[in-house]
Amino acid sequence: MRHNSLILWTKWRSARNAIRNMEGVMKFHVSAAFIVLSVIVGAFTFVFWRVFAFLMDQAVFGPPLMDRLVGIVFLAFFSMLVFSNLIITLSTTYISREVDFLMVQPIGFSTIFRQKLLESIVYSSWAFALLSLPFFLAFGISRQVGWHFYPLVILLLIPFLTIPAALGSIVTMLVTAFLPARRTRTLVVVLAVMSAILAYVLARLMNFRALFQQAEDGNFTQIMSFLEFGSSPLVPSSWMMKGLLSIAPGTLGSPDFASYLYWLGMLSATALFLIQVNEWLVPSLYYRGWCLTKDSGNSGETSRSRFAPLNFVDRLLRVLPVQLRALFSKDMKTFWRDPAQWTQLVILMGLMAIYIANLRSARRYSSTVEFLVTDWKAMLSLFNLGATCFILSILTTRFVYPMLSLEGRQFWSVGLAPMKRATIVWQKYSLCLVTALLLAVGLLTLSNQVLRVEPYLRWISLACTVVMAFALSSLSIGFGALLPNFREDNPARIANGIGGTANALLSMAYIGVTLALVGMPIYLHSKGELFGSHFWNNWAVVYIAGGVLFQLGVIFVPMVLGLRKWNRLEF
Amino acid sequence: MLRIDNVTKKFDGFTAVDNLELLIPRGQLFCFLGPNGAGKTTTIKMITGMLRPTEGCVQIDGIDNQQNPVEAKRRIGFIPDTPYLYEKLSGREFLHFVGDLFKVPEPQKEEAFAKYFSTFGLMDAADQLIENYSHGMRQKLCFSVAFMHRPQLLVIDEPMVGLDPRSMRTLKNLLREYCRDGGTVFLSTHLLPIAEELADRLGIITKSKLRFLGTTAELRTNLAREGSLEDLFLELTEDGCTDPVADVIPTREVTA
Repeated sequence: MRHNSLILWTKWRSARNAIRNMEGVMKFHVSAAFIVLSVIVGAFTFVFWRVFAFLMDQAVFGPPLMDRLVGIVFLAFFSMLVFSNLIITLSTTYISREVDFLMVQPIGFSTIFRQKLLESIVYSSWAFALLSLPFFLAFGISRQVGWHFYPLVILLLIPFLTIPAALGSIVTMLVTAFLPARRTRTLVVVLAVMSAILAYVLARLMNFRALFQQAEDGNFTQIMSFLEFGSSPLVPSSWMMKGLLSIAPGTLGSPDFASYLYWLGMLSATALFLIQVNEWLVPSLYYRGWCLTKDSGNSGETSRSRFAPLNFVDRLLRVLPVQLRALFSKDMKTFWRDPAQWTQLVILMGLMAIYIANLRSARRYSSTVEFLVTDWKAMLSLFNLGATCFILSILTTRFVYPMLSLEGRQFWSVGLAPMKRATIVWQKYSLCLVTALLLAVGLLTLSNQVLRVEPYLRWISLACTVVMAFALSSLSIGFGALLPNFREDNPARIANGIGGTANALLSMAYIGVTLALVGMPIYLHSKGELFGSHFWNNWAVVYIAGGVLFQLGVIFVPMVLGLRKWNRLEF
Repeated sequence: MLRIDNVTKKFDGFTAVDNLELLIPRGQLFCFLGPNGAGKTTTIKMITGMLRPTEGCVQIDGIDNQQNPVEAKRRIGFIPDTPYLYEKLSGREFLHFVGDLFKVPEPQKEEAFAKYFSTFGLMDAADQLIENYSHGMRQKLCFSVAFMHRPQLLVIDEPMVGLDPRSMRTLKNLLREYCRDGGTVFLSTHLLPIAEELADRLGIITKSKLRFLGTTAELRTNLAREGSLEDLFLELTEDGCTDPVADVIPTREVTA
C-alpha cells in the first residue's frame, strides 16, 4: 500500500511541477485550447439539447425513443472504450519505459499492475469524458434535472469506465502470457484481430438491415422493440443507461433512487469483480507476459531486395525532389513497420467495409422509408457524405495529427538538414492530403454507387469531399504544428492528448457546419423550392461567398498559424 | 570557422548562457568543458540552430545561422548526446535518409557507408532495424552519418558515452584526421582525459559564463598550478569560484 501511495504521490508531484513550470507562451496556448474546447463543448451541448428537446416534445413516442437512443449511445461508448483499452493497456502496462524502471525496484508486481490499470483508465477515459460532457449536460437540461443529477452521474461513470479497462487488461494479460515471443508485433496483431472481431460482433448487434426491415413493415412498435438492442441486460452500458434514466425520468415519473442504487451496485460489483480477476491473474501472468514482450525473438532484418514492396515504392518515389523523397520514404517505412499503426488502420478499413455493407440494406429499403421520411434520398446522401468525412476526421486525428510531434525527438537529424523547416510541414500535409483524397473519394464514390445516389448529388458530395479533405488535412497538420507534444513517442497517446482532442472536436464541428451549409440548398432543391425562391434570388451570392470564405478560412488559418509556430519552435 | 558573438540565452528569466564569445578557426579541435547544467548543451543547441539566442549571433563560415539557416546547416554535422533515431529504419536506410536530406550524391553515400560502417564495426547490423541497436551502436551510426556529407564543422555532444575502448580509439583517430584535413570540431565533454588528449584549445563554462579559454598549458600558467586537467578543472568550477578568478584568466577572443 505504501508503494501505491508513493507512486501516486510521485505522479501527482510530476503533474503539479509540469503545470507550475509551464512557460508563459505554453500557458497561453493551453489556456487558448481550453477556451476553444469550452466553446466547442458548448456548441455540441446546444446541438444535443435541441435534439433532446425535440424528442421530449413528441407526445407519445418522444421520451421512450430518446431512452432507447441513449442506450445505443452508451453501447457505442462502451464498445469504443473496450476497443481503446485493448490498445492502451499494452502500451501502458507492458511497453512503457516507466514499467522497465519499476520492475527493477523492490515493488510487487500487483502494485505495478494496479498503477498501470489506473493509468489505462485515465488515458482511455479522459477523452471520453470530454466527448460525453455535452451529451450529459444536454440530457440533464432537457429533462430539467436538479443539481444532484451531475454528481450521481459521475458516481455511475467511475465503475462504467473501470469495467472496459479491467476487461482490456485481462485480455491483454492472457494474450501476452501465452503467445510465442515475437515482441509487440504479434501481440498487436492478435489484439487488433480481437478488436476486429469485436467490431464485427457489434456491427451484427447493431443490425441495421433489421432496422430497415422493420421500417418496411411500417410498424413503429417493432422499430422501438428493435432499438431495444442498446438495452440488452447483459451489457454494462444498459445498466449505465438505466441508472441514468432512473434519476432523470423526464415526463415518465419521479426519480427512483432505489433503482439508481441498484444499477450503481450492478456496475460497481462488476467492476470490482473484474479487478479481482485481474488480481488473481497478476501473480502468475503479468511478469511472465512482460518478460515475453521484452524478448525480441527476431533480428528485425530488413529486406534489400528490389522487389520487396517498400523498396519498390521507394523506387517509384524517385520522381520527387531528393529531400521530399527521403521524407516520404522514411514516413512510409516507419509506418508500415510499426504494427501498432497499420493494424489500427486495417481495423478502420474493416469498419468502413461494414459501413458500405450496411448501406446496401439502406438502399434496398429506401423506397419504403421514403414513406416515413420525406426527401430520404437527399438525406441519405448527406448522411453518407457526413459519415465519409467523419471517418476521414478519425483518420486525420489518429494518424496525421501526431506526425509532427513524432519528429520532435529526432529533430536533430531532420531539423538540422539543409532545408526550410516549413518543408517538413508541407511534406506531411501533402502526404496526408493525397492519402485523404484517395481514401475519402474512393469511399464516397463506392458508397454513392451502392446507394445509387442521383448524379447531381454525386457531384456535389464529391466536390464537398475534396474540399473537406483539404480542410481536415489543414486542421490536423496545422494543429499538429501549433500544439505539438515532443515528450511522448506513442502516437495513440499524442492523439488522445489535449491537442488531438481539440483537433477531433474542431474537425467534427467543421463537418457539421459544412453539412448544414450544403444541406440547406439540397433540401430546398429536393422540395423543388430552391430556384426562383426568395432565398435564392436575394441571398444566393452572399450564401455561396460566405461558404467559400468559411472553407478557405478552415483550409488556410490553421496552416498559417501552425507554420508560424513551427518556424519559431525551439527544441 | 565558428564565431559566437556575445551570445546570451535566457529562459523565462533564467540565464542559461551569459554573453558568450568564441572564435574557433578552421582545423581546430575545440573542447568545451563544464559541470552539469553549466550551459554546454544550450550553447550547442544555439550553434546548431535548435535554439535562438536571446542576444548575439552565431556564424558558421561567416553565415549567420538565424539569417540563413539552410546554408549554415549545410556546413554542420551534429552528433547529439542522446541519439534518438528512427527505430523502424535500418542503419543503412538511416544513412541513406540523412544523405538524401543533405543531397549527398549516391557514390558518396556508398563510400561513406563502406568506410564508416566497416570502421565502426556496424556492417553486420547494417540491415537490422535501429530498434535492435545498443546505445553504442546508435552512437556509431550517428558518427557515420555526421561524417558522410563532409561538414566543415562537427558539433559533438558527449561523444564517448556508450562507446567501447576500441571505438573510442577509432573515433579519436577519425577526429584527428578530420581536423588535419581542415575540418573544425566543437566537442562538449565531461571526460577530461579526452579533452586533455585531443583538444587544441579548450573553453570552460560554469554557471552560464565562460571561465577560461586557451590551451591546457595556458590554464596551468594562469592558475599558477601544476597537476592534471582534472585538478585544474575542479578548482576552476568549484562553487566559490566567481568573477575574481575569471579576471586573471582570458575569456575573451583577441582576434576579430
